[in-house]
Amino acid sequence: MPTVAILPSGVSPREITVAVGDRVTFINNDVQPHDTAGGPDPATPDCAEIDAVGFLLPGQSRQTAPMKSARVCDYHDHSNHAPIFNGRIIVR
Amino acid sequence: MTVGAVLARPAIGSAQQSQATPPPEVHEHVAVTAPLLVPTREGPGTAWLPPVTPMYGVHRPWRGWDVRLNGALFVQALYEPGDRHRTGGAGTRQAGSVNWGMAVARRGLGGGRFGIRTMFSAEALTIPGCGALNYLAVGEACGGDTIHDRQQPHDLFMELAVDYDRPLRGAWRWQVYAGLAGDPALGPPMYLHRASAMANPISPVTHHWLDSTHVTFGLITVGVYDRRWKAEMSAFNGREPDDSRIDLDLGALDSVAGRLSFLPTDRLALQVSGARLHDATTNFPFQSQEPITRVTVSALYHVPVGARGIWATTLAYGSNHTREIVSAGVLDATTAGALLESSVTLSDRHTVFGRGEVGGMPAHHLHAHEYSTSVFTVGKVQVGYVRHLRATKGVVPGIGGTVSVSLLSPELAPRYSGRAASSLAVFFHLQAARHQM
Repeated sequence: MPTVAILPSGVSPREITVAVGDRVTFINNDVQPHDTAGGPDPATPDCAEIDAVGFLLPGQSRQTAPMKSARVCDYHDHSNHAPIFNGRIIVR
Repeated sequence: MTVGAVLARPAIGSAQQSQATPPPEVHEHVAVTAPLLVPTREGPGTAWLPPVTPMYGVHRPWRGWDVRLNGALFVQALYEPGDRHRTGGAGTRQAGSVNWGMAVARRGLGGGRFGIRTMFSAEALTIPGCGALNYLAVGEACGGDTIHDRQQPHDLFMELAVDYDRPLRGAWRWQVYAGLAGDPALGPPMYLHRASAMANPISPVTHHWLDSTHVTFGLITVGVYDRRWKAEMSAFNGREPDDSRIDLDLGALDSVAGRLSFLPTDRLALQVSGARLHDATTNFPFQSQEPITRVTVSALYHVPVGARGIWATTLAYGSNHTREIVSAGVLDATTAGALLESSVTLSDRHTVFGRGEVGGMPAHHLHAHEYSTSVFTVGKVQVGYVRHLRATKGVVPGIGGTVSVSLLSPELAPRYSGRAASSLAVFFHLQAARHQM
């Protein structure tokens, strides 16, 4: 299952490729909460499937909704706008 | 700072009652010149307060005008230890200043009365970040994101308006109020002007169900009233101010509101109002929105306590219905909020205040995007105290504090470190003294 880890150093991997219909699991391995949402920043939300991840306390994990169509989906941390917590899901 | 003014011209012919028997809604003048230019029932915009409401500020005649200056300033330190996600970055401590000032001038004109009304705030400079820390407060935008868990700073121009009214028939008068900035005929009197909230630096979280349109950039209101009843309608620009807070965010007057007010006694002010608000909320990316239908009802009850005291209570309910496109689909819901706040001031020295609120909060307003089609019931309970010190040159300093607890659903709890999130504020307060002529 495709998985993205959220670490103190940022998200890993920064870019992941999945198939249409796949879900991506995000796991928070940081010591701080994170709030994953679709789009490169709060002002440009996109790829609503990623919003299903939402707020993760340290140690928590949650999946995106099934990625609906082939496209490039950026995501950001809605609570911590540091670029290291931005990443990309490529849906093929 | 608060600065306000009301103006009167000696003995205008349109006075409803003679000066020999001033009506109960007239505030206490040492020397009354034209009492009906400054009715104590007059609240923000065209809203009504109970006529027994004390008036604050400096009131002076000036070159044929009756001028009133009024204002308030808080310097507050806020502490909300549980925050993990608010707009502008998680923050638990903040110092800042909530403040406002108003100036009103009135005079007789053409058999009626004409007024110039202004209100300002310096909060754009005195409140850092995206607004004052305030769990569950939502609305407006900052830095490309909508605001949650902060109360946004007020714009520099809160009111730039004129009004005119004159006799219609019998005891009835008609009134026009219009301006580049002002408060349309919707909701209870805004919280800054409610006696039940004046000593409280924390805005209500039900603000966006009740009185959030109190700063509207472009409006016209027409109404008729007598001593007890008032009916009025507004056409106005219902869009929220943007995050540039020193300009005028003018727009089409495509929102409408109507309000019916009633004063059964001098101690009680009732209102029911409704509105259709177009493009009222900021969203990202910007997209055309379904109008919001808002309905509010409220009761303000004021009881004098001794010669220099008042017990003021506000009970209010508001609902918003709209259909919003959110990340997980469509949120088509009617949400509602209710507020009960009360304040007791004794001998102009001690004020004890409290507020309780409950509402149905759309999860996406709090940026809980994983629940974007959900509405969660939330609440907030607050108590506080202010010790007013000796007035100096018409200004009353005071020192106070307040504590509150926000009550959250289990889904929201991780964002606030628990289902009961506490807040603490200590503050220094300057308030215009009770009105003197």
